[in-house]
Amino acid sequence: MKKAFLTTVIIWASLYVAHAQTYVEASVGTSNQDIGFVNLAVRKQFSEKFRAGLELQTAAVKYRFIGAKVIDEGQSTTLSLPLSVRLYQFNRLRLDFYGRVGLRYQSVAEQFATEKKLSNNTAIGFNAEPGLQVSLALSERLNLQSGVTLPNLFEVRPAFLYENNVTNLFFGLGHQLSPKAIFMFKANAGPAAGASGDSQKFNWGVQAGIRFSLNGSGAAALRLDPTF
Amino acid sequence: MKHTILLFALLTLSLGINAQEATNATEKPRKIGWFLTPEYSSMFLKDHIGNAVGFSMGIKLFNDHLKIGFYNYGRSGPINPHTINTPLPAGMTYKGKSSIDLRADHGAFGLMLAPAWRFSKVEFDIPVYIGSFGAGFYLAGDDRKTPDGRRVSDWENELFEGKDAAFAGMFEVGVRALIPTKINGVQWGVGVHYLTIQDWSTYANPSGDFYKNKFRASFFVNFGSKQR
Repeated sequence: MKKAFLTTVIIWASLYVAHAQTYVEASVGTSNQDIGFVNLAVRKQFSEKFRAGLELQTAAVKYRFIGAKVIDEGQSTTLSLPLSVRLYQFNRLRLDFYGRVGLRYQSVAEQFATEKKLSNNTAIGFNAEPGLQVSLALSERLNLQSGVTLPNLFEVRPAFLYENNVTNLFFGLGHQLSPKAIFMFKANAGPAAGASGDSQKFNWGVQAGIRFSLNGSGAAALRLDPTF
Repeated sequence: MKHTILLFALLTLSLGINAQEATNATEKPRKIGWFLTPEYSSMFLKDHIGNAVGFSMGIKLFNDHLKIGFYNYGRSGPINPHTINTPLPAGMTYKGKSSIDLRADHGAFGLMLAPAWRFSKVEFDIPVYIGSFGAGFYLAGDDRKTPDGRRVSDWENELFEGKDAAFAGMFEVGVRALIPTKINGVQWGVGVHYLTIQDWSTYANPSGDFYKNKFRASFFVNFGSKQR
């Protein structure tokens, strides 16, 4: 496990020293799961075909789960590694395979955990999320994205359980504000199931933020990544 | 299981598209196309109209006259306020009540086959869905806060004699119109579908007529490879 983790980190670190267009993002949002969240991301456009990144989301919890029991306070933080690979392009329309793996940490106060009879006040989870993204370049300054991802959330501690599988439909809008700054708007929604019906049954979220293109801009910078 | 199948489908689709045309379209005629169709639908169910969200995706063969792929849609409880008042078994109560207002949720997925034709610029297809259907009724709102801190599903199993939800085989056939837009590869459309299920029965709906032999109207955007 440790070797696999280290290998992943080394591979990702080596990718990041490579010369490629870099995007830095900051956004805020809300969802049925969180009162509010902050999302920070660094992404690299290694080639016209391939993009990979590192994303950190930290949230104030509104309605999440530990051991398939509701928590309505506390924090949730997810560190994920998203990537996308172009499959098809014709004129203004492009199709990408999108994938993400992530690690999630959740915590509530010990007193809350005791009152709600939770098996622990912290939890660690894992997300594996394949998907397909369609991007539409409506103009040189405006790009729309849509598609579907399939997040698979597993809680691995305190107990192993298949917390949720989600059919996550998403919409994104990237608008160029200046040569290096892009306004981002993202929304997602979709049915969910898992944990014998005790976890989320539907997910939705919205977020807005800014993407900075550090070394030059281009049409690729307008193409946002799916959100969940 | 559902997402394992969908992951396999995504990879198959990826390989199929790559094999055929991974970059900008050329004048060389393609053999395989693709489609990705996020949709909203209204299900005309017993005593109410249900809201459902989903998608279909796959490949197009034989000059785009046959679509083969996967479908997945769900009528989630949180976006459907309709409740079903359900008496509990004799002598049983929950929080002092002998009957409970339950919400319903549902998910369907499986294989899609759709013969397609184009008349003038409008495309028509006949999507046939063959797959699996899981649906049930669940404690909602404050009733999800169980009196003893146990998981909600434990209570649901006890109250509904283990029949809070069930799986069944499903068959759906429909007809859809796909209307072109100014962007090649993007269509919008509407459809009507007829759903039937086999041997689905739950405590709250023993006859299974909640979903059986019902119509559904779909509204969608279709993304796909360059139109012929």
